[in-house]
Amino acid sequence: MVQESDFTFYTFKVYTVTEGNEFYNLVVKVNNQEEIVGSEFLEYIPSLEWMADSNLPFTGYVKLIENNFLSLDELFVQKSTGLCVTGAVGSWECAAGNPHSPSDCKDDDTNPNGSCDACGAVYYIDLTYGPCPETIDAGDSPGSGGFPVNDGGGGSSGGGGSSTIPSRPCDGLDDGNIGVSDNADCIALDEEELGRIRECRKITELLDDPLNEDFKDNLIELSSQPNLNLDYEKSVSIFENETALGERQGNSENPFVDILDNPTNKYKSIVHTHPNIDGGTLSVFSPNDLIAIAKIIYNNKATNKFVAFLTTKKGTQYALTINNPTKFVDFFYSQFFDNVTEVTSSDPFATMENTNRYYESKTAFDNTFDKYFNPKLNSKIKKTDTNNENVLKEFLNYMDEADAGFTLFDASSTQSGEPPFTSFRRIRLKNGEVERDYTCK
Amino acid sequence: MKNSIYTLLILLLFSCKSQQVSAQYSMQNLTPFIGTWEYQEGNQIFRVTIYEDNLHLKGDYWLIEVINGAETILYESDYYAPGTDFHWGYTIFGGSNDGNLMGAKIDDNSIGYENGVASRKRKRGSLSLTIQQQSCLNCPVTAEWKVTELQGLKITGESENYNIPKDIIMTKME
Repeated sequence: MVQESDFTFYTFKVYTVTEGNEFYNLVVKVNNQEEIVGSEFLEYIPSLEWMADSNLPFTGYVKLIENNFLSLDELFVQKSTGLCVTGAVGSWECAAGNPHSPSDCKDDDTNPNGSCDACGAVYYIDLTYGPCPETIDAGDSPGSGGFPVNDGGGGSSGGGGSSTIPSRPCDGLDDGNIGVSDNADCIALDEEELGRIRECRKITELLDDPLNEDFKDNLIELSSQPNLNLDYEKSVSIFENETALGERQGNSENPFVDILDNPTNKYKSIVHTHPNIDGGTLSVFSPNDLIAIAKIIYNNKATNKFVAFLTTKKGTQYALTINNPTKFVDFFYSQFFDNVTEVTSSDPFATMENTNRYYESKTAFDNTFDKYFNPKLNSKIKKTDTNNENVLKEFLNYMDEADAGFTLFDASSTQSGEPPFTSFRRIRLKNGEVERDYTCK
Repeated sequence: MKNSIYTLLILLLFSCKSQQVSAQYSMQNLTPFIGTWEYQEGNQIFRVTIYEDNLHLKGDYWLIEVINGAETILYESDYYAPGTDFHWGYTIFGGSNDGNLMGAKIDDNSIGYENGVASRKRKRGSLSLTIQQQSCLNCPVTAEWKVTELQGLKITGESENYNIPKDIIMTKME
């Protein structure tokens, strides 16, 4: 807790799954009338020095994220009663209703083939409210305070804390024997909410960086009619620790452009075109596009903030980020080897035996390819289809079915005169329809 | 002391990978393509077998040299890694909506086969097999085999050309 003139700031630690060392705090601003007047999430990306000794003052990167995840009225309804959060406890419940994490399937939620049948899990955190103590360690520094969650596998990261940890599970809400309030409320914080911000930031940080100005100009330039009217594809790449951009182009009337899969430095981003080639080109990323990107990631030649951009003759512009590299590589794994001896070679990134991984990928990739992209049949995604929204919807269906760990953003102009790649809106399916549900800030 | 408990639900959605394999084709439309197809040029035969699996069409191919009636395999698509039981698997995967046109993804994994297994390269393509109208009652069934490029980013070094035939007329053998 921090008192500053007429306001009091309460800081809470947010436990969530993270990709790296980042961690989050929720900061709530209360005025001297005891009214909540604002809230923000802070994301901390600590320096290596701080990671080595979290007792030092925090050093690293801090980003402010506007809180539109939580209803403060619901979260702090008890404030007016003079109660404070006095502790927390977390517990998993898998979709089959059993108390364990998704990685710990039990016999009673597996299907006859032995694989997990419970496609989902909920992580519950009970916040316990009680009378406010005279002094509160509210955790206003990243390495202290907050309310640690005794979860046994919640995947949280960041600093710890020293508050009392009650042992009451979430499902105690329905247990009259433990004195739970009858009118207790529940609110939800979706991991996806934090995830979409993380993916957004890959794009905005790339394009906001003055060092990448030339690359940003290329996004606009490749989207110009002279470039999109060409009968060959173009690509421009930007690499870590390099000022020169990698510019390439395909051959006339050939629907591809080549890229390096093993460059000296890692790719920060690639943009390529789907131009005016006879017979049409797709208004979305093609499977071969995705396979090439997966090969680059497999070769460890993409940064963990890699973004792929696409601009097309049909007037669409998209950005694509990889939210789960393991899923992404696993899905396309069977497609980027030249021969069987490459598959049987050692693989430091293997998530299972290479040969099983190969066959699983082959089945998953080929079934979805045939359903959505088979160009000789009346597949769902066709280069002759000029209804971009319809193609996008099917591409989102493909993404859902593939579950290959990537996120798509609409990067087209949102108003007259605005160049493409200015605004980025996350796209997903909602009730079977295209929804642009979140604009990157 | 009266405590109230509020529950903050953090939904961590761990989706299991979808393994749905939806049957898209009817057996009636797949049947005309099932069997062995051949194209002969000189003493070499390009042989393709198409079979049904889970209401899809899958296939393999061989290039065979025939000398004095004896067949020698020059390459086969479903080849093994030396000293292992791991093999490529099918190279043709698709279906048909009408019993006349088969559309499929095809892997040409025979590029550079002359230099050994570890030197073989792969190039994906789109295959169409279109059954031709028979000119006589007992004529063999023939079909036009065409392989075309797929759109997309291409890794540098990937072959520009296919090794398997791109445009031939195949004859159904059985």
